[in-house]
Amino acid sequence: MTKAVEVRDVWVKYRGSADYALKGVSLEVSEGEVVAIVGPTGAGKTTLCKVMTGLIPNMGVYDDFKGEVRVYGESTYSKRVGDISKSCAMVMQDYETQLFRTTVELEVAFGPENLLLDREEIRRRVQWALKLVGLSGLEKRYSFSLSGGQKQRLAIASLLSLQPSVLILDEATSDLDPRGKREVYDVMRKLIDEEVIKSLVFVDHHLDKVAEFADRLVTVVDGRILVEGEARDVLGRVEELRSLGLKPPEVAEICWDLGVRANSVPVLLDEALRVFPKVRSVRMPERRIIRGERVAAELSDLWFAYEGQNWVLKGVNLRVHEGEMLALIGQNGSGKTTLAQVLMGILKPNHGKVWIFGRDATPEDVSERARDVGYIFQNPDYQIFSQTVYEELAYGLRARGLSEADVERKVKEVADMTGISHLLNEDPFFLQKGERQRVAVASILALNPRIIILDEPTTGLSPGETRALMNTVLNLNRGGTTVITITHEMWVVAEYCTRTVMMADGRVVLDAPTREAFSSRETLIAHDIFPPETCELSRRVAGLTLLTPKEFVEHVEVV
Amino acid sequence: MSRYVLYAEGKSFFHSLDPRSKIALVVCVFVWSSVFNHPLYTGTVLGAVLALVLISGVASRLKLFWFGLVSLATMSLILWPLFRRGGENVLFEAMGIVFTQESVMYGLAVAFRLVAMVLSGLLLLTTTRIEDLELALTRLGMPYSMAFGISAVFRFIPAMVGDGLTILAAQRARGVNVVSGNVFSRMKNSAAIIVPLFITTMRRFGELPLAIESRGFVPMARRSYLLELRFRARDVVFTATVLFLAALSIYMRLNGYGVVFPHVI
Repeated sequence: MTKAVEVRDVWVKYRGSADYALKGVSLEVSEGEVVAIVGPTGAGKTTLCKVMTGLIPNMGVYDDFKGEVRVYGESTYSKRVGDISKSCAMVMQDYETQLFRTTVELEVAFGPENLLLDREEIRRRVQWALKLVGLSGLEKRYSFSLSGGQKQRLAIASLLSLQPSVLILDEATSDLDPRGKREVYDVMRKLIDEEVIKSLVFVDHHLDKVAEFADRLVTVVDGRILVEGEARDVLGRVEELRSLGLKPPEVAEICWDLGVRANSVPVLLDEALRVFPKVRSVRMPERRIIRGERVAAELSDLWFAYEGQNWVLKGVNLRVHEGEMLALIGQNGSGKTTLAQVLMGILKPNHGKVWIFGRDATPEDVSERARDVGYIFQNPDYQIFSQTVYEELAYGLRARGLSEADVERKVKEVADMTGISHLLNEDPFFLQKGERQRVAVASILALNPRIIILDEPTTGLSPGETRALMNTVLNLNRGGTTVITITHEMWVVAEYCTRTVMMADGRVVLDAPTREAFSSRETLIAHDIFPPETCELSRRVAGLTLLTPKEFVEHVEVV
Repeated sequence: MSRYVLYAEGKSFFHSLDPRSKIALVVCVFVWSSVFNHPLYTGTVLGAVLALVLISGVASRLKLFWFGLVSLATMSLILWPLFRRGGENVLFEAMGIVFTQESVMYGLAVAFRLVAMVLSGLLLLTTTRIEDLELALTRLGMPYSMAFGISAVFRFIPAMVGDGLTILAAQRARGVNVVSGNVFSRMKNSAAIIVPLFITTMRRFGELPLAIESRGFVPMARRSYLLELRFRARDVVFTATVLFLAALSIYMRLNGYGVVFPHVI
């Protein structure tokens, strides 16, 4: 097999950082291979991708770079990134920064233009690449008017038009909604099956997807490759993956814990169904306590449009009880964030009323509602502006006029709760995304809201970080705080939320306890929402919907 | 987001011109309005630009700018009479400062001049796709990297505005008050908007060079273009006309036309 990319004992130290980001990493990618790279955030996955495409060390500044990288036998050292990308190209997580032209067609043409191709050839490649990613017909569209999934597919097309042999996708699906994720995975499938590219390397936190695609799996932890092997073998090593803060495929977790084996631990649903033993008994899971008596928030016949008659919310009714832990799901553009922002008072509804703890809050503005409602935005960078974490947490408290002693007490308390006590004197700018997200959360929790809205709080976090954050929220919820979480991660919904509300096209299309909601498989899939595999496995083998691998193992006994 | 994108496709005469012709017009507007300092003359230039804006049907795309343009004109009207001293026809005297008819006329002339200049630039941006402009600039001899840089700024303005609005919402939700309070608290609070916007923008732009070079871009290397520019007969006529008018305006100024104060710009 031809070696496409060879990485030999590479060490990378970013300018000004204390430690090496990569510590002697070696990796080979051959033609015809699909390689997945997984690991906790900050482990060096992105750095490794950048090394393979020559972005490191050829762009940016580094205190140290050692080792050798070859792409098709040629060293990347002091080569132009633009030249390397003709054979090995990389799609980045943030699709917004990768698109810098105004229209779809010009975006895809940018690469071939750099190759000095003639107009006819450029046009041909644009058509070809757009067809591969399913964007034919949108040539003249403005790229900003596309959905997230379309944007990321456009980013892929704009690299495919260079006709590279190796394509690297660095968390290309992380920022996308379920539909967008599905679209990108579909493109990946097509590129592999039709052999449009010779090798694919991808970084992903969703190990069930890794199981579907990868031949080989590499785990990167703290700058080193810890485990490397055939994907299905590594994915079956459930304990090991768990200990790394990763989330093994749910099917593998269940089979591992119940001792179900084929030749190895099944990692895909179909495999598991083939070998799953007879179920001896099933205990019905307890109905989780859903709510208190009081109504915390109520939205009645809510209509909202940003402009004219373009209704984003079309008569939404929703009643949230005190102490509920509610998930708001649906594709981007379905109205979830708009709904939450109307509840927060950031947006004023055109019609309808907002009630908070029994009072008509419709006329109140954000600052008044902020006494009861806290809103945590998806991107912590939108909120953080102080020079130390302490100042950041203290800001809202001081604005409320608390004494310095009270401020200090409250900051300590909330820092403890969110596990950032050791960071109080740090500059938030230099923290990792997961830590910054905790700072943003803490700064809202400090204000003691009785209702918390989390707007996609776990985007870009590893499963370990996601759990840590959600456990904090769960603790608050147990203390009586009402929680509304907007999320695209169905396993988070299954594990943490007792009630699920799905929106589509400005309306609530499903509102039920989570178990019931995830039993409505057809409705969910019709809206491009895919419940966790545990739900399907339990339905098929035990005849009821169980939500998490843990619940499955506790309630199902096999022969 | 489309609200923050200046360019919109159109079928007007001005839309159909080659971007180089439009750049010629902008340059000439700068010349015309700079050589004269009589409000009647600079006002005529402004009138012409305004007429083009209206004929091209882009007035509605400039909604966000009218307030700024009027403020710019007002500032000039107030400030210039204070600083441009001289003239014989005293209008009035306030707080020991003499206001002459000439200084007020000069202020008016400069107000028209500034608005005409900015408006001609906006006219260019609302009627020209940014990639066409980029290509025109390279055809006129600007290095591609620089032309690309200019187009990238305009490309990312909508994203920045979007970020800014979200940040404003995020900060208001945690009790940051940027619209009331005294000057000092407002200044302190505005940091809550500016710092995150700066950081978000830096993170965004920080990755941009990587994305560009990952697409096979090599700085200073030759490249081809999908788009084509055609300098047609109408462009020749249009450009020749505006250049002639620019030359004429300089000739007129040298012969003493169109000035309130002959010895200043």
